[in-house]
Amino acid sequence: MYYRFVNAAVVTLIASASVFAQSTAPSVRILLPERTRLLKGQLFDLVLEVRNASAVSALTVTAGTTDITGKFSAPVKAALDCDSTSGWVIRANLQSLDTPGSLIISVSLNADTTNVKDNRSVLVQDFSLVNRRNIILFIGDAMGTAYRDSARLVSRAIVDANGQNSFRNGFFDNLLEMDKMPVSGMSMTYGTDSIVPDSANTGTAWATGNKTFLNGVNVLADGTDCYWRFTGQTNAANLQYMTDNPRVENLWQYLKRRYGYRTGIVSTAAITDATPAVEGAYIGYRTARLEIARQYRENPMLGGKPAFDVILGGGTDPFTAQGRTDGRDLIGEFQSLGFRYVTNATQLRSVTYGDPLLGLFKGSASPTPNSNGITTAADVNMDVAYDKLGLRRPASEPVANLGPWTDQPLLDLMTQKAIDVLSERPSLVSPAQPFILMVEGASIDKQSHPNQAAGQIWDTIEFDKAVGVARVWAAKRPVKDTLIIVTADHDQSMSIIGVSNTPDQEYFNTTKSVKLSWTSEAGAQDATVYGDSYANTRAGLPFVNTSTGASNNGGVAGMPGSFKPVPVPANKPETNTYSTYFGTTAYRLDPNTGYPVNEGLGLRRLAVGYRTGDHTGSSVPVTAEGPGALVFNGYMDETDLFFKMASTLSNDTTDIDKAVDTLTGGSSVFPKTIGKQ
Amino acid sequence: MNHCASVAVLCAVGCLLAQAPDAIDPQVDSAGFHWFQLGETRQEVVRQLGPPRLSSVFGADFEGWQFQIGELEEGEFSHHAVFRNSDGKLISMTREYPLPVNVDLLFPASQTATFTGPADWHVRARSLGEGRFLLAMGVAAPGEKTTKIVLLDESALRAFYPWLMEQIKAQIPQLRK
Repeated sequence: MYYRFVNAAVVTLIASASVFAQSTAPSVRILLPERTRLLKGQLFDLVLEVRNASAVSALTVTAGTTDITGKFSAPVKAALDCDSTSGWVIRANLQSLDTPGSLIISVSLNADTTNVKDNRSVLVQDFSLVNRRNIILFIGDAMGTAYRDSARLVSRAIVDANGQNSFRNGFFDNLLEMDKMPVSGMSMTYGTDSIVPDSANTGTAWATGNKTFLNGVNVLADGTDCYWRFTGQTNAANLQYMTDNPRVENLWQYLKRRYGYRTGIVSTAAITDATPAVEGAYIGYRTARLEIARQYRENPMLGGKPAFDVILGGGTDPFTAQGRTDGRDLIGEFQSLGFRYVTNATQLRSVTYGDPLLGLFKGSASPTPNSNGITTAADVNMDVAYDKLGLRRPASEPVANLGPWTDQPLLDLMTQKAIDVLSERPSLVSPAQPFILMVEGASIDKQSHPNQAAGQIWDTIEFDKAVGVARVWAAKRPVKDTLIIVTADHDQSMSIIGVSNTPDQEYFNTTKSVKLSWTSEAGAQDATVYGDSYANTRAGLPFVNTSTGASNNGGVAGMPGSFKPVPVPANKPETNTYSTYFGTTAYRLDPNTGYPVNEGLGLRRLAVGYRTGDHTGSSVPVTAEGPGALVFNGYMDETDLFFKMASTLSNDTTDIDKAVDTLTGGSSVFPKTIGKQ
Repeated sequence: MNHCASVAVLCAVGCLLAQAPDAIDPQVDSAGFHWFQLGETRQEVVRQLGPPRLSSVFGADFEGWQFQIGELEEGEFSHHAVFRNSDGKLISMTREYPLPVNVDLLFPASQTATFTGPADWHVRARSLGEGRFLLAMGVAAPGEKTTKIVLLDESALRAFYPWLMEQIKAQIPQLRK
């Protein structure tokens, strides 16, 4: 049907774009950032952008002393920077550099009649597979130091039947699994465009060894990002500009393509979320879930073969024909390629060694594509551990609704089964193919965004149990051939502020609250504060000091205190009703689940506070164990994780492993940390 | 459109508008369309939406602002604004809804056309006059829901949707110059 705009006024054409273009001089740019680092043989797209030229000729590109001009396709006209000047893109896709060391990539060409040049220094790290070892990388999403602390202070401060606390006089009887790993360092997480990064550009750092922009998944910035990256115009029409960015191969595809490594991803998020996506997809915009799922099925670095042997997580929708704009049934396609498919914990428990595995444990009842054409209408993460365990949420946190998805596995089971499938049975395959696996505790971050302390802390405990599964499995190996690394992609804003003695009748009371309203430049805002506020302090709220007598309580001093104190039994040591900043936590363990319970008479809860509901730019801890672990010592950039993982496979680590054994093993000369036994 | 459908549309937009503070969502009443005018300064936009979550200078002459109003997942935004750097004027405002909504009331049939872009993806576009356009993204026909509404001026349309500009020019003689 033909329509006509009837009220269109006469419009004056404004040639703003061309008038305000940044420069009119012809130029060429190599789309590699300063300090590009690659492994020997690591694939990347070498892309040139030419601006302000109506014609391009006389192209010459060299890498060191080698002429690589012949690897480039013919120049293609492109509208770079969203302006009307004439631009060109010249591509050499999926290239690699095979000579270790520093080399210069140089380009020279004629832009119309002007000769233009550019060059980049690239550092190539040598790699040859010397050690056929496994790597298990644990990513606690947003798990900064305070997050590890919170899991320790809740799950390792357990009161036994005799009233003895496993956290006494400032020492723990038994530290977290990730605490016990012998090597530790710190990772700086800055992106190319941000000191406060997201999971996509931080994931790109540890997965490819190179930094990128917010939302970028294993790609570098380019001149067509202007169409979508800063404008909000993320849709199917602009997908072409999200998939044309220069790609950099990640370690998962690198090891699978060159050495036949088995690869896996495990996450409690929708499995196409950013952290798992950086192991299997290449795209500028992390939310383009339909394309990410497609690349899992037909990976561009692997000639269209599947990226993984094990995929376990949430987010069924983009794998279904109903949820996709192209109508492809990716689940069926995986199955036709020999993948087993499971959808709940019961099925997962029965999985043993064998064929590759796809497990999707939560989705929508009726998957549909979003109107933007690049993602699904819903993006369903798995439920958090706190809810999977059936624990009662504090008053300020939403009550769980698992719907029909009541049999979701916990992360330790998912991790164990991923290892089982990936590791094969050594007696059947000689030698067994090594594997590389990423395990993500996703909702540490996702629960922190809305400041849901209970959800976040129990997910961190769940994550640590998964670390324990891997440590036990690795320790039982006849050969010490598995490197385990535990880190975070970025930090979040939670901090440990003390201890709360809030009784259950207030902590869980959803009927009693204080409503706060205030006006700022951003307009009227309001918030509702419940009785769990001393255990979970949202700093976005204004402090309303109505003294409760709990004045000596550090970070929570002055919080809304309209709740009346409740008498504490005389035989209990605590005297303050709400908060004793100088106290200690005291949880009890549910023997059936192995998790602490969050209610009961006399419970002293950990009190945490949130400055914001967002990420921070603080560095995050790294701990490591296994052959080569010592290379993760000290402060490092997040991109170093990639090269350090590779270096442990490519070099003899005997001497550094002996040093770690000496420091942590039987020697009595060097001090041992209490609780690390 | 039958009566039931009309009521549903009215309810969908009416409920949406009833919950929304002034500048959060486009408004429509008997006097017409109300939201941003375009041409606003950065300060005027801050007064309406508060400070942006992210800002970036990009492209030839642009600055993009992204807002997170409401409880959103990481990487999700409620609004995107684009300013022209050289004169500091707002040239585009995008409202990203957390759930799909029916926006038919914002797109009267007599002033709206449907266009098809790359990947066979559809946009319903309404000319608001004075070089301003309102787009319902991913919508091919009345009754379909969207998660995104875009208000942009002609310079932004030409810069960010050149294929759509070409198609609109074919329908609006004044733009053929």
